[in-house]
Amino acid sequence: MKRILLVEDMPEFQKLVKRTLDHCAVTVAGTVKEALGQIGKNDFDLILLDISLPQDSGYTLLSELRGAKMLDRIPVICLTSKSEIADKLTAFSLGAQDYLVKPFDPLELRARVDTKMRLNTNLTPACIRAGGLEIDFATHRVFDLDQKRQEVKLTRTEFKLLCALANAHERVLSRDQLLVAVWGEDARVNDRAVDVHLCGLRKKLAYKGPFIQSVPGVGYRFSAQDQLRGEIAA
Amino acid sequence: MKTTAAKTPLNPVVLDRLQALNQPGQADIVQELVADFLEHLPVRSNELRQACAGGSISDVVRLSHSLKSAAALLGLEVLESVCREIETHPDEGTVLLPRFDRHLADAQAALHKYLHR
Repeated sequence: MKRILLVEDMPEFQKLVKRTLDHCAVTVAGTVKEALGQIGKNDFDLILLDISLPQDSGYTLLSELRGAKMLDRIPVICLTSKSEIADKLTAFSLGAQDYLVKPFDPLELRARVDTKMRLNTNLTPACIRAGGLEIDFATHRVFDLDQKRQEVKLTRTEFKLLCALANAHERVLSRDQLLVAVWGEDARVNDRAVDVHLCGLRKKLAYKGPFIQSVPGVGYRFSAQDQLRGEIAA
Repeated sequence: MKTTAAKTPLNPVVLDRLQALNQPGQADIVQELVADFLEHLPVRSNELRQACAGGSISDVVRLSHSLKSAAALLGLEVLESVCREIETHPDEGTVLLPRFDRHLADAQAALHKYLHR
């Protein structure tokens, strides 16, 4: 069951949204502070956010989520009585993916939520199969499909590097791009760290190591002919 | 200011649309929403009156905005309209309060009538 965080202080709307989305597990937070507490404790598939809240506004939460780089993973739909175009533009500029004005048609809300979660799932599949490897994002494990699905034991950094390269679909990633993907924008790591960890990764991938190709003066790419994407069957 | 003459205290189409959410075995969503609204109405309206009488402009805006949303959810068009006027002209809250009170009473009566139709 998909998990939704509803940030809304009015009991009528809390009740209406819960009933409308009764196919999801809806957690309610009445303030931005409560919402941040919930986000810290639980994984949510989507956030429904009112803008006019007691104390801090919904914009504050959007800014916090954007600062923490969480908006790529958790889509936010604003659900608010604020119908001015300026309010909508502010919400979108802060990273909201959708905006629905109250009072809304419950069926429209349900359709938007389901669509948003479906699209988000498609963007971040549970696993990638590339070059005879299966990379499982949920469990952070890698399996060699040509070796009876034997697990390839990787360090956390090696796993992140492999994910970044496999997700790039044969595009070349520079060392800087890989640095950001693995260590984040604020990391103080020399770009040679990329080379060191990639060397270790190649060794662990054994005969599949050459799939990680060095492109002189540019960076690296993961190149495999039989790249397939898909979700692991439940 | 906008006129509220063309609007009705309660637009039943709005509540009928909400009825579509009811599934067998579930409590009536409209009954629940109306009960919640009526339960919180005395506190919300008193807070708004007090804010209009001497509170800050931001309180008047916030409280009238909340009441406007709740009224719109239940199709209380005239009440929604006067709350919108207070939200838009918070410094004229005291002038608008008598009309607010009148429409509030009409909205309550219309909700009771809808529930017992």
